[in-house]
Amino acid sequence: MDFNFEEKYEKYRATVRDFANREFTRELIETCDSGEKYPEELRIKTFNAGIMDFTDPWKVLIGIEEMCSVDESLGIAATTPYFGAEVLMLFGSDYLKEKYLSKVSQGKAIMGLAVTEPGGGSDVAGLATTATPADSGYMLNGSKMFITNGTIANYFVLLARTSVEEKKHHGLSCFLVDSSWEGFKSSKIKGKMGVRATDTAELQFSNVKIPKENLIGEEGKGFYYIMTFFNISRIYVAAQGLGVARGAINRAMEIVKAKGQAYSSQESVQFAISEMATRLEAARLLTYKAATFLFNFNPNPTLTSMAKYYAAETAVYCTEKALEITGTDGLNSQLERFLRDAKILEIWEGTSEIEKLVVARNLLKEGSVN
Amino acid sequence: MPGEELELIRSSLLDFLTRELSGREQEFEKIGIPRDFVEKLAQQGFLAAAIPTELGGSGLDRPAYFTILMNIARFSGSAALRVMLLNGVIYRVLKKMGKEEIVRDIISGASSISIDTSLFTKFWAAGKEKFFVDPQAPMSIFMLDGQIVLARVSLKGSREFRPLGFRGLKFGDPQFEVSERVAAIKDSGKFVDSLMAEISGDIAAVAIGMSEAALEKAMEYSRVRKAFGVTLSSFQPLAFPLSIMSVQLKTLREFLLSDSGRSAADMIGIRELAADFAVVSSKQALQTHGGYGYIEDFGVEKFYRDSLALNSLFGEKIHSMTLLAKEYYGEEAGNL
Ligand SMILES: Cc1cc2nc3c(=O)[nH]c(=O)nc-3n(C[C@H](O)[C@H](O)[C@H](O)COP(=O)(O)OP(=O)(O)OC[C@H]3O[C@@H](n4cnc5c(N)ncnc54)[C@H](O)[C@@H]3O)c2cc1C
Repeated sequence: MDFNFEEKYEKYRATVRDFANREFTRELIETCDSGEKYPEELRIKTFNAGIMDFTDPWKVLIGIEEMCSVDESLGIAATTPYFGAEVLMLFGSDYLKEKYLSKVSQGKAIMGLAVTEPGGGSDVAGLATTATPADSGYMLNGSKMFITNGTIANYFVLLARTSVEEKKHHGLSCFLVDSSWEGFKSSKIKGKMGVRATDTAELQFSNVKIPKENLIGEEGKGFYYIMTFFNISRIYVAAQGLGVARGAINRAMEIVKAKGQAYSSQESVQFAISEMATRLEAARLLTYKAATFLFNFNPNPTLTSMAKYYAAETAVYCTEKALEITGTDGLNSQLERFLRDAKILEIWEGTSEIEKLVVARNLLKEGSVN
Repeated sequence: MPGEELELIRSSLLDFLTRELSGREQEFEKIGIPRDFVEKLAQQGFLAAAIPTELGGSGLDRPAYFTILMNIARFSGSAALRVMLLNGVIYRVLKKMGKEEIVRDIISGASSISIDTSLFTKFWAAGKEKFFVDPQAPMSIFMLDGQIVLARVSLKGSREFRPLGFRGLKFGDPQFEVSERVAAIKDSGKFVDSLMAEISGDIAAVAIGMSEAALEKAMEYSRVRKAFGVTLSSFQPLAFPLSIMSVQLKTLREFLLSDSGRSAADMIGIRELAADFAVVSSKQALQTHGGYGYIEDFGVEKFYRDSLALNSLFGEKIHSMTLLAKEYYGEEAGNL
């Protein structure tokens, strides 16, 4: 068992870290956080620096982790222009890949994934947006909630109901929807607790015509495609958590040291550091293990869900502890933003509760743990 | 105070809060606690609840004062902290300095005092900015050369912060010149220790009020929001923690309000328990709301932010835990 990355990845990690330390200036971080502003220039710079190299998923993971260790909000804003692209890569037709994905991979267009609805996000199969067969395609009606890149994305991978006859999750299909189509409306959601550099919106569809070529894969398989996507994206959310936890621990240790030896030698402060670092290490091993399965084309949904919820909870735990041991010095530092940003990780792409249910149900089906 | 009187205070306060604050919580958070609200709080006798009547306060006992803090905190942690800072911190500091008559001007709104929250900080981080509440005020309580000083100041500028919590209050790092040094506390270390013990109940009251509101919101939401065809209250991972937390909350509240004979150790202990509980319960409330919990307008995430800020504003955790250990052991303990 070798716990080291190949040298090319270590080099890559250092490159991304340098990039984030250089480009995520305090001014940019604060402007985007206080003004809820999406950092478009940073997106372009990130693209030009070749940080999100989709030909190598380990690089994507490392890139996300490193960026989030400097600032989660900017890190995510800079790395999610491709959100949902995997669905197209895996299940989209050549036509869709050529027409849409190529623009996204050239940095000329932004994507988003639209699953959650005002009525619910956990119960994916319960969604109500409909795509009913019409002349030469489908007619889309309904709404989506909390959609990342909602007001800036050109294209969305969208899940809608195409049949009410079949079992709930069999009646769902995925579409590639262009935000410039008639009847498509998006409104920015303001006042998020954290990740305020990311763009979040409510989408509304009123008789939006979807050409039949924009159906992704087969009709009725949408639920399965989205679950496959989550098995990939949840690994990246875990990587966000690793970055946040590490960033928080390092910042907390800086402050603890600045408070002097009399403080850093207090045993309960030392225990807090020790417990944060241990959890981070455990979350990292779990995430890298789940990623290894996935990147070797052998995804393990149980491990993926374990990694997602554990890394998210670790990020929240570490940011809370970091504040606890740094007092007002921490409140008046980047740690307060780390805490606000961290909490979303336990909510998006499957709440911690849903992840735990996935883990348990898989294990019960298998009958034993390894 | 007899139970009926306490109930009378509670119900008139609730009437007042429902009239003056309910529905304006977000406004308080976004633009600050309006002056007219503070004036009305003062007129009703809630602002200076625990300050003696000779000084313009209401002279209420601790259960009544805690009841006021708790109920204001249900609506606005910021407004509760404003009351707590005046009664618990400013008044006590002024009293120790023999300058308690100044509190009249604060109650009437004729003057205001900024406070450097790092006066509670035992271990200072070199080079960190200061963290004052109300940095623009013409008078200030702050640390200077190891002493707590009260001074009239002339402000040269101030860097304002958007703090993690209690956003209805203003926080910042003011640059000022001292135009008159009014008084100082010589043995500040010892005074801070006793102040921390004395304000423990106040902190617990604010924490309990916030927890109560957060849990109520979560319970209400889980009764109406559906997932998988049933209400969220059907799910054990939500219903169990929310239910057991409701019991914990009741225990904390009853412990605090029947405090007449409580020792200093008990009060520090309940501060720690209530402040930690506020974090855990408000986090559970946020999580229960799913994505909506993460949005400010839903008014639940602020309880999580405020309770974390409450844990950090009044000294390091190890400081109050050391005081607690000392009280229980009857001698120095837990100091390594
Ligand atoms: C900033 C932000 C960005 C987002 N970006 C996107 C995006 O790009 N695309 C997208 O599609 N969605 C996005 N989401 C939505 C997110 O994925 C959902 O918020 C999440 O899945 C939860 O759904 P919900 O908010 O409807 O909560 P609900 O599903 O209503 O859940 C509420 C609570 O009930 C719990 N719960 C539900 N069912 C059960 C059960 N069976 N057992 C136990 N507990 C249960 C949940 O865990 C949660 O605590 C985003 C959300 C936010 C806040």
